[in-house]
Amino acid sequence: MPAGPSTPALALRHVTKVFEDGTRALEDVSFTVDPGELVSLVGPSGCGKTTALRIAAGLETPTDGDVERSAAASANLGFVFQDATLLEWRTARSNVELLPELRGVPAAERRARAEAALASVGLSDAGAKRPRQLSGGMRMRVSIARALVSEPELALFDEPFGALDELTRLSLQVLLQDLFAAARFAALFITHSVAEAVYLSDRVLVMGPGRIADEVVVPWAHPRAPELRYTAEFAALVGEVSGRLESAGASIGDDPRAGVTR
Amino acid sequence: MTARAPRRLPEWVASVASGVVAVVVLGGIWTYVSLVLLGPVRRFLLPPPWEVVATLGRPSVMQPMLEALGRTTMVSLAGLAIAVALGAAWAIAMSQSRWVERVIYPYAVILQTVPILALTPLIGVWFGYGIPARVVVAVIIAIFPVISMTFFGLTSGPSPAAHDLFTLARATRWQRLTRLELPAAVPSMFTGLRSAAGLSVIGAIVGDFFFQQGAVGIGGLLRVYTLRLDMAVLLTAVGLTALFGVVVFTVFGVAERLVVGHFYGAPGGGRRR
Repeated sequence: MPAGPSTPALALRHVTKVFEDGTRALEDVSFTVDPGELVSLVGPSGCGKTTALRIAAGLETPTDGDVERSAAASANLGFVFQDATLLEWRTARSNVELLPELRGVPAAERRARAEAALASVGLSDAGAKRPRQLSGGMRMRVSIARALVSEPELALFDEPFGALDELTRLSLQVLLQDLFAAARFAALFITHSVAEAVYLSDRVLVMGPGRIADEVVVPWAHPRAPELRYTAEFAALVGEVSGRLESAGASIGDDPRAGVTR
Repeated sequence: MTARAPRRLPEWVASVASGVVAVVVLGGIWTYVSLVLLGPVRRFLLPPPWEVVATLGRPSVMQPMLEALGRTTMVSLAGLAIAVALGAAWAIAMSQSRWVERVIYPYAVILQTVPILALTPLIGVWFGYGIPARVVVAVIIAIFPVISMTFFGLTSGPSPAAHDLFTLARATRWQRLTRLELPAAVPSMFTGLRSAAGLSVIGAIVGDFFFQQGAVGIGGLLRVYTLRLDMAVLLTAVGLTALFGVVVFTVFGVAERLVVGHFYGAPGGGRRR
């Protein structure tokens, strides 16, 4: 059943996460992601962003609080890891086909879907290549294609561009923005780059150690031109979010066990 | 003025040259021991190299030796095949359940550590004193690297993120095994296979040595030559067996390089110094 406008694709309500070793990664975190909305979690390393994302994905269970995903989002979830996480023995196309394959989609159909997904990330000609033959940026494109091949209701991105060089990172931001503008899936995007968060998101959630400290609504509609990133308005909003981030992170280090990234 | 790097010999030339030097030095020491140190009375203990080489031209010696080597090869390959099938199944069972791992891993270690000499009476009673018993010895000696390297590959091959990917896709245990764990384990499995191949040759020869009913293997001939004090023929047989071991090890090394190199890149595919 498709989620209605009032039903969020993803909701974390009062989520607390304490790991077995006593580390308090999250403390009473609540936020929602609506269908067709891209929300970024931005914060310094170790503030609990990745833990929040893993809880949203169902890879971790919260110690306290609730996680709700719409039925459609639960059934059709895309995930992009920090590392491209491609299976080295498979070709790029075969990597993209993996999730439909696991779901029993017939070979001809999943191949067609994989080729369309690869085309959407600009890798039509790279389907037969193995991951080790691809650059870091190309590997991440394949990873994005794999996450989006089943047209997910909800896509989760765990700092996917963090390890890439600046130029590749900028081009992949544009690519992801275009893909989002075209498909309008719900998305939760983790990053420690404020500019990246502002360019991609409808809302930016600013994280302090283990908690959501602030929220900034980004006023521009999608699709967004790449040139937006070089305007004064954009720079002003990045400055504002950075300021709030600085305030939120001021207490980092007060509790050394708080907000350790897992 | 441009500085020039000193010219170096191509790698294959250096490799061949070092091999030739090693053979010449070894041959020199061997000849010295045989002709000078041992003297005519005790020379039968180590005949000079040319007497050993001359046996290669004696069909009455070489024909039975090659036939025996053929039998040992078959025993070794049969032992290897069984060790791979059994070892891989053993490792897969352990990888799927901690409980199974705790129960059956100690037996793998015992198989590795118990002296084969201690098992030969049992093997003889259970499997007879012919070729099946030799195969069993080859299996026992070869199986541990298959178990340990396959288990290592299954449990350490896939990254945690790859496991997360399969968890998110709600993959079944079978899908996870066949599409993630086993393919990720292939490079490690080949490493184990290469060691097992060499060990299966040793196992087959040891089996020949202990279980001599039926057609004789090269290990059985080694025993015969020893009893006859026919050192020239014995050394030829030893050399042939060593060569056989090297060939088996090399064949599986090349197979590893081809398969792992093609599908996985790196270690097996491009070993560089």
